[in-house]
Amino acid sequence: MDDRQIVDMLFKRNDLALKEISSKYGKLLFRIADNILHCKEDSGECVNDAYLAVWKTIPPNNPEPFSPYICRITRNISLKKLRSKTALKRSTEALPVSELENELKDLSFEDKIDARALGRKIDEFLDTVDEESRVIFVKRYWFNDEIYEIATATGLSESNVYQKLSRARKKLRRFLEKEGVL
Amino acid sequence: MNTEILFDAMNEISDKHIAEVATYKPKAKALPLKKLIVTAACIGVVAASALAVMNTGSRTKPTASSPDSTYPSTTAPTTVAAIDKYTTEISQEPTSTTMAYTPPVVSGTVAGTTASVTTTQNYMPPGFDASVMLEQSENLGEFCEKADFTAQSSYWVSYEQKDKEAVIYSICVSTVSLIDKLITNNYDKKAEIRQSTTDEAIVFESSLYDIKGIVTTRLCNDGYLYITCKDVTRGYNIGTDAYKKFMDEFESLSCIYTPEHPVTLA
Repeated sequence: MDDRQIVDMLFKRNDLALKEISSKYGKLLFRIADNILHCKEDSGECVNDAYLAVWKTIPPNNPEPFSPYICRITRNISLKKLRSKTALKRSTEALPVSELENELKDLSFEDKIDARALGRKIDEFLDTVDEESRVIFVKRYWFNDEIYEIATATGLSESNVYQKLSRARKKLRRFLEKEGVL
Repeated sequence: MNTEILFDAMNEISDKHIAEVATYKPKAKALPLKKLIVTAACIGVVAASALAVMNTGSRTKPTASSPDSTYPSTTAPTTVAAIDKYTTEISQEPTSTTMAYTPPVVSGTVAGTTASVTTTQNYMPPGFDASVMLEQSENLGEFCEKADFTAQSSYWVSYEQKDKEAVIYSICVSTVSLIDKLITNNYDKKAEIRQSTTDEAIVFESSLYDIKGIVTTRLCNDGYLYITCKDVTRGYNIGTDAYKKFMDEFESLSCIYTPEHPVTLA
């Protein structure tokens, strides 16, 4: 079943839509949650919460495309769970995105730009790199995938993935500097 | 900068980039016909390599009693003017596809504490800008084709500057790996690069062929990191198709130099 049909079913309040979502995206959503939480029980809960959120928000929302919508919901719920579980200010320290922090650690732009604006710049940056590098970057820092998972998905060696990520981070830094963000 | 901000920032990645991950298909593996072409290239490389080694492989360092004016200097140029002159001299070498014994000069600008960069070599076209090439290293294959040269040596060097010392902590050498791959015609096997260090240099030796690379570095007051690579690159005519084919793979081969031998500021 394609995503458009799933959304239509949700609009008709047909709960079979949730089964379809589970069957089509269940594994992916669980991986997104588990990459953040590293706890199967919590990850399962987050995925269920994501289904519920989809049920509640569609309608009125009519996401197009649908897959990033459900992925984003799962990611946010998982992050919220992580923050409440650890109750630590820097609960995301152990996530891959900390590699980006290392690249930019000597820079301070909190006063100049907020997280959303920074995110939009990163999104612009992604348009400037080749598809393979972009996919690797998003897999690592959005989906929080492990290096070996990225290597498998892209057909590259793990060391090649490391190198491409390293170059992408350096390019991002230069891009942000050029854009006057830093 | 903290991780929380970055993590939140990543939420702003657009739907199209997230959806792209799901639809991404890795590059297809090479067709058998292309392998055949590469095999033919390998035969050429083996012949050229053997010739090169026979001609120069056992060459010994000249002494005061038996001087040899063609033997390369082991000292890196220490000023911009000197390195320009040195590079110019090298570019005037005959464009043989086997080798010229003059060592390529590799230089890189220092930017911050983790700068990089490098590379000139014997067969680059006049006016070729190594720094531009490095900037575009992700598309090197394409760039090589445009520049119309047939062999390439690339080095990525990272270092930390501590007071008046620069500590080299990693160096990536690609050419020797590439040649090993071509000779063995085994795309899945990673060639072993034996590495050893002396107080002044990093030495790379191919596990599969008699090729040795000696890398010396010098960080100078003019803000340049000079890297001299001796007898590493011999200008094999591998052809741009073969070059492009291997580009991704040999980039991943790296040799790590642990910071036991700091390079003293000149």
